[in-house]
Amino acid sequence: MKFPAPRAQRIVQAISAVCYLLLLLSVLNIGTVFYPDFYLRIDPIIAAGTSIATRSIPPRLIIGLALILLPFFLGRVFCGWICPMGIAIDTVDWITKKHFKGNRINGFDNPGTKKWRWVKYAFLLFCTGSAIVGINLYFYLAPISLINRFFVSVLYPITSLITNTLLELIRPLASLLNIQSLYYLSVKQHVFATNFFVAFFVSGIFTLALISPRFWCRYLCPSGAVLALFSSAPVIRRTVYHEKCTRCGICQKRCPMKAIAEDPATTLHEECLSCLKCSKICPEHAIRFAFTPSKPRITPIFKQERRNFFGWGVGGILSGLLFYTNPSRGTSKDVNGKGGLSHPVRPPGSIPEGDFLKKCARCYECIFACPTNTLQPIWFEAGLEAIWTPKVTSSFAPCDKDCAACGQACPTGAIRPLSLADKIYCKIGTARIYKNRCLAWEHDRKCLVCDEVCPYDAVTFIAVGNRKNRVPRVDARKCSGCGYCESHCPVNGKKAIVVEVFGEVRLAHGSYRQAAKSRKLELKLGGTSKEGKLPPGFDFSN
Amino acid sequence: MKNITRRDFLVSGALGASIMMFPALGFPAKVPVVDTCPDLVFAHGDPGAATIAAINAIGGMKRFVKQGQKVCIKPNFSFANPPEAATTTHPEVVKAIAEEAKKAGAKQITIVDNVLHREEACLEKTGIKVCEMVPDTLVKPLTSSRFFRHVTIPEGKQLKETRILEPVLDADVFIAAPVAKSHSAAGVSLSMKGMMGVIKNRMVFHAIYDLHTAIVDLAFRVKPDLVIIDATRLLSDHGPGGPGKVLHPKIVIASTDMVAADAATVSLGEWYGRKVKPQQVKHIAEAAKRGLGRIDWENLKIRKVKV
Repeated sequence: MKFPAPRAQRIVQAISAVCYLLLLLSVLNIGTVFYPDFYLRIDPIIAAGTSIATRSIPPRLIIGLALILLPFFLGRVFCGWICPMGIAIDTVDWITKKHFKGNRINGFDNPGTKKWRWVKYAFLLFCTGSAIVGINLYFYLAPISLINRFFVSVLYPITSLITNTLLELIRPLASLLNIQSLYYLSVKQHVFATNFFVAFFVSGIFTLALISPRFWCRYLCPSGAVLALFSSAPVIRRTVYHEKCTRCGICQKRCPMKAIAEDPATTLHEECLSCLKCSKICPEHAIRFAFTPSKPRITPIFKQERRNFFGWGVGGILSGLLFYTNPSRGTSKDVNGKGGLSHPVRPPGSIPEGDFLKKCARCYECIFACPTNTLQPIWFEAGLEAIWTPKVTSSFAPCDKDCAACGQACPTGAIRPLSLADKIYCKIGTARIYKNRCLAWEHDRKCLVCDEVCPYDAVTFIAVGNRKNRVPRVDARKCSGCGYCESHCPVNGKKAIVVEVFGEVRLAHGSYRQAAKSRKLELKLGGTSKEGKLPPGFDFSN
Repeated sequence: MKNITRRDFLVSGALGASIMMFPALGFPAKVPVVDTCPDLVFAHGDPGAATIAAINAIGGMKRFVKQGQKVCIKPNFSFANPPEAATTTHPEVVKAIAEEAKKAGAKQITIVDNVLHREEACLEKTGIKVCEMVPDTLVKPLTSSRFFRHVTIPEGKQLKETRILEPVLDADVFIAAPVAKSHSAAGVSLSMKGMMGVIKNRMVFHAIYDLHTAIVDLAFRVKPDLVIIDATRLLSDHGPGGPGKVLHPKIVIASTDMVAADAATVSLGEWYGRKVKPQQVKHIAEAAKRGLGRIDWENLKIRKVKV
């Protein structure tokens, strides 16, 4: 049997997949690679959506915006050749192909019709409607965000778990051969909230491959929709030599996008991935992808009535307004989002909450970059609008004092890249002591852990009344909210010292050092103000 | 065939045992080298050189490490701070110990700590990585629960069971190499308090037990063969995390007795701006009382060297 030569598209896809995975893994050692978030920057919907919702162009997303112009020349090559979501779907398709042979429905569209293709435009318009009023909903279905979430919160932790289990199994061998480095070898095991839902959601998308290949790209993907809008007549496109074509229809049957119409010479260019499959399988070599100056026969992209689409846009606007009138946005005085948006402790460098929600692409890059695993995606706890946004979970692990990886990893600027020098002044919250849970306050026990571990020297132990042991106090001006205290607090369950969002400093621009100064904060790594404190742990009675 | 009754079995067993014991009863015990060695050594000098001098003065590493043995060293590299902060053992001290152990014929050397800060940051900032230049040596911050093994502590008053780092339990020779520093809860953190770095669950020391008693309980189970305290720098206050006042005694203390080594270090230093007697440190006093070692270090055989 002759192994079929891989098409150029497959080679590029393979390279793209490798690049995507390497860049993603480089996030674990942020700073080693120049643009670890490159793929998120080039997602057209992240670029366009964030720009619309924030009415600005985030500098890191300029490539993504520029890419929207690519379809004028090459059609949807991004979808067909580069998109990691497309590659993942193709891979699932390839794995399940044999098993489901014959069972596959291959779409509920007739070849070349647009019956259900409007769905993706409807979603796009709906989100654009809400983005116009400043609510960014694109992230739900932005393809690179989606696949990133899947790799970060589902595949990566499972892979580490399996790797560590295997390493565990070979430990006796390492011991026998006396190879210490192998004996203690283990990979970092991180865990992520929302993993169940992300797994469920993305496997749903993969399962749709059973209905038809590239189901997602045909009917749902908002990035695909944006690109399709501009690829009704790309400069380089599918062309059929009428004189050679025998109307055998094989291309029509095997087109993964069902983008070839009843007459195989007619192409729905906005649905064509330029994957070159048809030109390769055509027995008559009648199909070419080439520079085509003449105008094609343009079929309207929206077969639905224009009015319907207008309806989706208005629906989006109204839904956006629903977000503003939900208590998760704060009280009636703060519906514009400028005031008390309720939210969890955000990563250091997060811009003010309202803008943060508009910019955050929910891509999990920051969550992946976080070395301590304190950054966790949230689910409904801060409302529908804040789904999948990052949260500092101090009960779990602290925000490392010598790290500002999350800001470096953020593709949209929702978290600002901070220098370590400026990060010191970035207060993300304040530790609060729950006296009725504290071993020292409630049980008069000698526990000084929070003071021991505090890198900012914000916890002091004071003598109160006739207690045997000293009790902790937090100086809010010195507390950065890093959470070393909370994560090391020996009280199980809810900790006795908890970092709360109170007192956080969120700046859209400008230096945190200045902001800390004007707020009279005394943030300093390892300040020594414990002068005059009597030596504890000693017993001078003897 | 004649059946052997249980009585026969026990009688013959006892008989056989006593015959085998006979030579042991008949000959005097071999005079160990140990008698000629000092109990406590103070070596003055730079970290690396003073450590080697201290080891030589206590009888040389060959006294502890035999050919082909596994050595485990437990320094303190728990905090991601540079050596100047005196919150962690100087890497040159640990490296010197590893080198001496290797020269004495150690098959493998494992340098471990259950670190408090992030693993990579600890390795990087403390400079401890330099020890891996010594052949067959691995430096490993171990925090994952699968590298710990459950043990019981029969002598324990409060801490009766805990999980201890495997390499510590499996080592033929165990060497403690703490830095001399103050500690907000225990007073000082030296060799005994430092053993909280080889167990998994430290929280219970604060949450359930009396810290001082639990430290002594633990010291009964993890007794180092050799204690080398790095007092080249001494964190006089604001320990264990610092930053605090750093003194520079430039001394390395060596002993086989945890209590004596800790007690001597307490006397040697200045803590929170005052002199402290070993008896005034609760866990050291309790350890001496429970017979773990000698708190009256002045009465021991002492050798002082200078390099």
